[in-house]
Amino acid sequence: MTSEHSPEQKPQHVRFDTLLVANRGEIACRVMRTARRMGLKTVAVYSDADANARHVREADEAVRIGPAAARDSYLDVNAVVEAAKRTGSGAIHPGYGFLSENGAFVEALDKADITFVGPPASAIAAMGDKSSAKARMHAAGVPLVPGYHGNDQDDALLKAEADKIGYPVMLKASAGGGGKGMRVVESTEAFQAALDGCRRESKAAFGDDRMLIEKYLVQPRHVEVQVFCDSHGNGVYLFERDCSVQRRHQKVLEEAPAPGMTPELRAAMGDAAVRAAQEINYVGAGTVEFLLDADGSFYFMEMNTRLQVEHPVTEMITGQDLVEWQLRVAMGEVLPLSQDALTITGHSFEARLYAEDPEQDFLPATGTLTRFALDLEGAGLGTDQVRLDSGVESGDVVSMHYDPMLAKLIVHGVDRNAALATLNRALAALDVQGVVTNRAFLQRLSTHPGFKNVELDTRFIERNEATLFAPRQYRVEEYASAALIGLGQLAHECESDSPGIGMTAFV
Amino acid sequence: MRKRLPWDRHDGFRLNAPHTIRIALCDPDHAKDDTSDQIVVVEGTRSSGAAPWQLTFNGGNVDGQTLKASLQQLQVMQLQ
Repeated sequence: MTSEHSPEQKPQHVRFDTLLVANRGEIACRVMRTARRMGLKTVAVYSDADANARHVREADEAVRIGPAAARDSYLDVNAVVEAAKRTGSGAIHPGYGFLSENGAFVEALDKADITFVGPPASAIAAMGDKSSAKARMHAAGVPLVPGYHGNDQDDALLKAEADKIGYPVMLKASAGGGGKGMRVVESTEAFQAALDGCRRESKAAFGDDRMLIEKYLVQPRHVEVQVFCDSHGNGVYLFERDCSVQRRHQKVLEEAPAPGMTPELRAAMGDAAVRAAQEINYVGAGTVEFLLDADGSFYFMEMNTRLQVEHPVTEMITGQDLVEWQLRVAMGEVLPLSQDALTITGHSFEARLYAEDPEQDFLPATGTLTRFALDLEGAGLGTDQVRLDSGVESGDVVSMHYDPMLAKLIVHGVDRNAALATLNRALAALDVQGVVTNRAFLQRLSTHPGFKNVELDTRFIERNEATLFAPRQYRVEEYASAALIGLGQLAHECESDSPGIGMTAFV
Repeated sequence: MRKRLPWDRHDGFRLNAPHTIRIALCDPDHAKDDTSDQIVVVEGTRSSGAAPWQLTFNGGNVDGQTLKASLQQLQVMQLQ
C-alpha cells in the first residue's frame, strides 16, 4: 500500500545511538528493554517522586526534570528537551500519555534537531480535533456513525432523517450532556413522541431544544486496528484488538484477535484504518478505534497517534516488537514487513493491574509494595505463555502522583480458551502485598461466564455489575477442599508431636 | 527451653487433636481484614488417621452445613 510523500515527512536514514524515554512506569521500562536490545543507550527522566523508580534504575543514565507534579516534570516540554540535549540523546520516545500527543512538543523537538519517535505534528493535530478529524475521515471514505447534525430542526425533516438512518436511533440534545434530552427511539411510529419529550427536557435543562440524531448501536464493541506507516509511503495493519471491557471509558481487559472476526471484516477494517492513517500522512505506530456493531458494521471513533497501552497483545499474536518497528521507522527505515508477510498466531489477553480498590469505587491506592511477584513456576506456566510488563518491583512505593497502573499481565495461548485459562492461572500466581489492587476484580472478569462466552460490548461491566461486584460465594465443596488440605497438614503435625491437645489454626 | 510445638506457629488452639481440629478459612483477598464476615470456621473430626473427616461449617454462606470428606492420593503412573 502506498501514498504520496508529504513534504514534512522525516528525512531518510536518521541515525541515533541514544534514546531518551520521556515517560515513567511500565512503558518506560518496556521501551528501554527494546532499545537496549537494539544497542541503543537509554536515558530516563524522572520527577522527585520517582528518584528511586524502576525505570530510573534500569536506564543507562537518568536526569531529574522536576518536582512530583506531572505538569512540572513529565509534562514540561522545556525540561524534557533540555534533558535530551544534556545527554546527547538523538531521539525521544514519548511512551503513551504525558507528551505523546502534544504537537507543541514535537515542534520543539524538530527545532532542536531531535527525532521524535512518533508521527509528525501535523498528523497529531489532524486527529486531535475530533470533529474535523471525523469530517476528514468521512471525505476519505472511512465509515462514521450515521447521523444528522444539521441546523434545520423541522420536525418532519428530523423524522425523515431518522427514517433514513434506520432504527433504532438515538435522539440527543445538541447542547446536551449528562443523559438529559437523550432518548433511544425504536421505530418510526415512536419518533414524534420521543422528539417532543426530548425537546421539552432539553429546553428545561439547557434552554435550547435543538436535536441531533445518531444511529443507536445496540451492542457496540470497541475494536481497534493497529496501523504502522513509514516515511516512504508504506502502510500496513497489524490486525485488531477487542477492548470492549471498560470501566468508565478505561480499558480493563484487552484481547487480540477480536473474537468472531471474519477474514473479510478484518481486511475491511484494516484497509479503512490504513486509509485513515494515510489520509493524514501518518508516520509510525497508530491505532484507529472503531465501534463494531452486532451486524458487522463498523464506525470510526478516533485515532490515537501513539503506541497504545495494550500493544503487547498485538505483539503476542504477530510475533513482532512494535517498539522496534517504531524505532526503525524513526530511523528512516522502511517497514520491517509487508502486509502479506504479517500473520496471526493464537490468541492473547492483557489484564491491567491497577493500584485501586474495587470495593471503594476504585479509589486509587498508595503504599509500599512489600511483595510483588509472579510465581510462574508454581503455576506451571512458561515465559512463552506469560509476560509481565511492570514498572514496579517489591519494595517500591506507589505514590498518588501518577496513573495507578502498576503492570500489565499479558498471556498467549493457541486459542481463546487456552489463553483465558492461562490468564486465570497467571492472575492467581500474581502475589501483590502492601498495596490494594484490582487483581481479584480482574479474576472475576476473566472467569465470568459472559466473558468466556464472548458476550462482549462496551457496557459489559455495567450490565454484569450485580455478579461482578457481589461478595464471592464459595460452595461448600470449595471450603471442604481447602479445609481438608489444612486439616491433613495439621493432623500430621499433631500426630508427630503431641496427641491429646487440640488446635485451632488459620489457614 | 521448652520444645517448640507445632501449634506454636498458629493462632489459637485446642480441641482434641489430632482427631478434632478447628481451622478458619477466608478469601485471600480478605486475609488482612480486621473483621471479616466471610470467615468460615471448619471443625473437622475423625475417629482415626485413616477415617474420613466429618466437617462442620460455621459462618458465611455455608453456616450449619456438615459433610463427610477425605483427600485422595493421586495415582502417579509411570509411562513406558
